[in-house]
Amino acid sequence: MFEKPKGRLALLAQGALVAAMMFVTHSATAQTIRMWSFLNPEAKSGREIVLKKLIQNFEAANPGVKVLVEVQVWQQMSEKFLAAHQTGTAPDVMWVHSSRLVDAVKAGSLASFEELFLKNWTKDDIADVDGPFWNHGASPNAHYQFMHSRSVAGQFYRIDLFKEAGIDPASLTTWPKFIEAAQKLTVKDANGSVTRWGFGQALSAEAAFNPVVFSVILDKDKAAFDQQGRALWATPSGIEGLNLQVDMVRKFKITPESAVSMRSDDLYDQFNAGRMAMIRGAAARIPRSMQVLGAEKVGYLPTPSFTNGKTSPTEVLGWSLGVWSKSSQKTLAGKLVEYMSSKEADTMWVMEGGVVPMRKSTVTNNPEFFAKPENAYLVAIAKEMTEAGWLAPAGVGAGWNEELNKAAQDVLTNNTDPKAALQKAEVAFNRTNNRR
Amino acid sequence: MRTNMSGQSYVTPAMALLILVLIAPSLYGFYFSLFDIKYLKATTFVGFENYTYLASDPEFIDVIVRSFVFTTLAVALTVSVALAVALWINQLSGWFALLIQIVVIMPWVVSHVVGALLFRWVFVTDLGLATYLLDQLGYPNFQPLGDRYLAMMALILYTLWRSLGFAVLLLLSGIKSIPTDLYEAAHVDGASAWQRFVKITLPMLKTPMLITLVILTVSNLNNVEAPLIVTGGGPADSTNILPLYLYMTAFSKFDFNSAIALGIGMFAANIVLALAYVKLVKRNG
Repeated sequence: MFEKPKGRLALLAQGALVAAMMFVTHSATAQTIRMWSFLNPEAKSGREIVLKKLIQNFEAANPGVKVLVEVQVWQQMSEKFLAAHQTGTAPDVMWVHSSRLVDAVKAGSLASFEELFLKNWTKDDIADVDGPFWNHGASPNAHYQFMHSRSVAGQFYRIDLFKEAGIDPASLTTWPKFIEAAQKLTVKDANGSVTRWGFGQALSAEAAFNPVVFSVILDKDKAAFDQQGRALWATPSGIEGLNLQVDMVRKFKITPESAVSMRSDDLYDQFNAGRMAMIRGAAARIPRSMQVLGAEKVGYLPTPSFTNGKTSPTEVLGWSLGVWSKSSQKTLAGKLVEYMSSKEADTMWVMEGGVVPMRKSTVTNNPEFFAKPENAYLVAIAKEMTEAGWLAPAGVGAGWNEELNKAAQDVLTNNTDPKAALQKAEVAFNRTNNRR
Repeated sequence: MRTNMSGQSYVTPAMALLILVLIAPSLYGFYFSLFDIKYLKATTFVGFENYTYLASDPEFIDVIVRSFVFTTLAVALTVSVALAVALWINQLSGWFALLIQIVVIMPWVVSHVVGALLFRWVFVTDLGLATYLLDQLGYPNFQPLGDRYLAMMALILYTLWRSLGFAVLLLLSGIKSIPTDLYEAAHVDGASAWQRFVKITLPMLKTPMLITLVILTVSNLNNVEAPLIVTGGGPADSTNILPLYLYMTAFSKFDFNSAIALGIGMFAANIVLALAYVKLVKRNG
């Protein structure tokens, strides 16, 4: 016959059993919202600190709710999401790259905000976020995302080096003036080896970034794709733009030959190491360079054009924050997305994360912040987005940066004729996107 | 005579796991490749159209040729150098022999990604130590990644550096299994060192060398880290070989129709090589 344990042992065993039951009960009732992001809440960059704070605030306001961020590699994250949507294992909240948003919507992977929280919004609320970014991927009765971490392809520059060389950044509105300044900023040592390049570009096809030639095509031809999304690059403007890129390496010697193999991350490293006075990069990465070099040393230049006083159009990018359409916690996930995109959150993203504001009210409510010299880059970026930003239209497809970079590599490495290189790039792009 | 089923029962758990993680996904992948894939979902049945579409890509033939050139040169160079190093180590003894073996095998045990990054930073970027030294020696502007032939050489050299240790170990074990009395008899008969190498060492090493060749070929045909990290496939696709082409087709161009067809094709090629390896091992054993 089994005898009950006695004394302290019995008390200990019963206490352990009760504790285990409480743990199981608590775990069963706690709700977990899974989020996929390239931002790591445990890391130290501005945006990541803001993400952590927002999550902590949301959890405090919603007892019993945990937000679990599963950090992903940004280059493949959006594709993984589409695959996970098919298998039913996608996260509740997702950051989709703006170039893949239309595909994500067409795949039915994102829930519309109208079915979640938008019905509670006033006209003023909507006006605060309204614009091309808000309407990206949207249909008349369905919006699927808030576009965070908005960025443009532009130029970072070293404010201190410009002052040393007596160059006024505001004067670099045309390509000839830009090149002249870059030549002034290119420095060689006693052996004739370049120790600092005037202008860095990343022309690798791997993790490719928006090249100069694309801005030239948009500037002069007003379009880089036709109505069916086929590439229109082998035009006189495209040839001029490609020649400009190549001349920066060969003729003007402001860009190193190793640009053909440089990725954008290599470029940021070289800029942060003082090896380049200007680089073409994603504006969202400026805060990181400011952390490394000092906020007073890094500025932002819009893309020059061939017309005095006019900025070239440039690609606008961002990360679309949305809710998975098959999430079992759509309402709660929607609440989190709404909070992460609220006025309070947007102020934090801007002031602590160093990103461009998503809401008009953030700008009007914080004039003293934007008036500070160290935040001038935000104003410059926002202005460029408004005046010259190009958001990829629905149905354009993917891979244009890669193919245009390959065209530049072809000319620089194989001495291919620029027109032939661009035609080859057009064929490759159109073939990939099934537009023969 | 009763059939002894105990051997099969020991193998069953491993086979079950293999079916679950390798065979079933491969068969499903082949099934998937017969459909038009939209947003990662199989939609319309298209038969072998994905395969014919892939084969019609003008770049595809270039990739095949490049992969053949890369694999042939890399494997031939690795086996040749490994054989020389193995013969040298065989003549050493004591702690020095052990030290050399450790130095040779170290690149093999380093993670692929870490090794490729180190190689890139030291040898092929303009900030690298090697580039700096060449600059000091009067060879400025040495840019291997700006030249299609030098970039391919850089990739082959990285593969050699990476795989040498493994090949040395395989060949060294083969050399040590050659009976020494054969060499003694040949020496007594007046054979020179070269004759002993050609008439004894090489024939006795035939099977280990073939095994090494097959393993290295399979390794190079499936190694995406090397071209992805060391050269990025450039310049101008000059080092864009099959594994990287597959990766870019899937994750840069998002052309999953072509990617899955290519994946199945490479899987079939790997099966052929694996069968060759099994046959050689059986012959040797």
